[in-house]
Amino acid sequence: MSNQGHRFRCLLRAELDGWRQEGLVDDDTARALTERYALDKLAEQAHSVLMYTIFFVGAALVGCGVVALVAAHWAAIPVWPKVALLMAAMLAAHLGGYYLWHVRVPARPHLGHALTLLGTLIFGANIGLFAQIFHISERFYDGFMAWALGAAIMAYVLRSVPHATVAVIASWVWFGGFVGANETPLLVYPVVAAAALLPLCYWKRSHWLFLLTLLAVAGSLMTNAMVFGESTRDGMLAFVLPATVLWCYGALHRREGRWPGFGAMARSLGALGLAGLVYVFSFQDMAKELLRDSWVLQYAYDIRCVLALGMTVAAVLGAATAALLRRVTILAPAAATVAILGAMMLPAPVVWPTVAFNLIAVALAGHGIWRGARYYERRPYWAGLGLLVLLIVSRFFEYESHLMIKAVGFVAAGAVLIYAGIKFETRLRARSGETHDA
Amino acid sequence: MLKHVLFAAAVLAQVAILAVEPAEKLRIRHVTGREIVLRTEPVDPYDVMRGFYMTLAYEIARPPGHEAMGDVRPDETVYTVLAPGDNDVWSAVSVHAEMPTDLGPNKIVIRGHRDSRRRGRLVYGIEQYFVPEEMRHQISDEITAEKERILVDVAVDPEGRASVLRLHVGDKTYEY
Repeated sequence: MSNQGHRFRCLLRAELDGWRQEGLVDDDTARALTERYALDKLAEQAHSVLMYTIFFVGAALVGCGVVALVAAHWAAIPVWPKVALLMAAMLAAHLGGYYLWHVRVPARPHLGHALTLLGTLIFGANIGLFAQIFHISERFYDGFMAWALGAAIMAYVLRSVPHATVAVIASWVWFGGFVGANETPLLVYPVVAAAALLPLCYWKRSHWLFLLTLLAVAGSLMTNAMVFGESTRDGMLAFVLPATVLWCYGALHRREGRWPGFGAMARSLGALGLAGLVYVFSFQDMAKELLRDSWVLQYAYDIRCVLALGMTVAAVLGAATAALLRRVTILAPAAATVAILGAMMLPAPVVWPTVAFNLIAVALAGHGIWRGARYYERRPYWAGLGLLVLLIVSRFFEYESHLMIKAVGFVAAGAVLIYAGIKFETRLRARSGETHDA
Repeated sequence: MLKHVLFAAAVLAQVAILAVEPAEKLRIRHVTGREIVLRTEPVDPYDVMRGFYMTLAYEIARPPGHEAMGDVRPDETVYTVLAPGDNDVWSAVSVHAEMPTDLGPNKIVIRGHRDSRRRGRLVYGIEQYFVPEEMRHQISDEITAEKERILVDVAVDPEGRASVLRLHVGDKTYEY
């Protein structure tokens, strides 16, 4: 089956009947297309999604009910029958689910999968309830680590994205709880999260799980850097580091030419992080904040900066072996990272970092516009144009100038935006027409 | 077949994860722990019950010398030496960054951490006592009336790990 999007396949199936009736394609071609894009499985897949949704929501509700029921700390039942009941509920859900999914003929995969998920939800509830029964008042986040571990094991064994989702969310709570309570970074988390979850993302080809994993890795890198340091520079690094990691990761995907959805997602998140950072520091007051402390060269030797620079160098080396167009994609964030770190480390009057950040922001916006126009992609085009307009509007509000000049500036920016938008949409439509004619 | 075995292993892994902490508490209570009595009070006398448990503030949360360890991080373990005092209620004698080796007669060690929420206090993993829903108001009223006479029986093992056994409020004893 060709690896095409669901929307495209739905559209193709809708069009194909019409084409056949009009005689544009013969029965053999229609059959070949149906087979190539697995169009006959669309209804089955839609039914499957519906059943999964119903059963998972049902399982989640039953799980919530179980938690509420036993959380009332039912004193009437002695300790050991209570423990037995909680264990039995978990085992019944797991074993019943597995039987329906993998043993029973004919199998009931949707219900079976949902029941095993219920088993893992009860497992999480049991961690809290056992703590209650045995008066375990350890740090609450340790319980979430245990839940994440149990859910991750089940996710791998059952190849289940919903179980992995539970694992990611529970691990987030563990990470947040640990960092919040101990006021210290948990450096191992991003590495463990990436190592534990990325293989399952690729195995299951799950965009949803990939997004959750990227957020977990990038978010924890950011949080760690912020907790680690106390200055604005550390705060900046907290954005630069995950954004660069994501963008380079996405760029490597592009180079490989595989898993285009994964690469696009990583790149988009990385671009969003970098754009947000340079936008914030394009304001002169924020740049002043950066220069409040004297610039110390020791930062150049700081391990965190070395890490960020190392990744940049790795991205540049990767780009050296890539095709020209791809090279631009990889070099843009690398250049941005070098410029940002340079601005952090070099002694300079406040005007230079401000100018540098504005230039980087314009370059990022330009890259988005170029990419959109080059590859006929709406999202980067409008994102780039939006950032450009935001920068212009921000600079107009930031600096004192005559109202007349501001008025002219706004009108010009608006007119350029409308003109560029019309041109782009016309180009897209013309291309779409060409495709149809062809 | 391998699929079935892997699934059974995953379920057993979840059961094992669930059993680790309760097994530890049971070991301390019934096998390796020594029973002692600690004086305590609710951490918030105006709101004794938080949901289904009360948070206890032990006298030993502020052992002599703990302020000198102000730079101890919440994730670092500290060791408080306890000795029996009046009415067999145990109190803190000293606090150490390392496990003391030569304790002397009739003294024990309990492991603790800095309380990340309440500065200047140590916690020992025995600060929450869960009670049944229908007993909440009764126990809460009794605690408010008997604030000075709240004692907790605790089992402490040779490694300093502790587990709550029962709660005494005035003349009444609660064990859940």
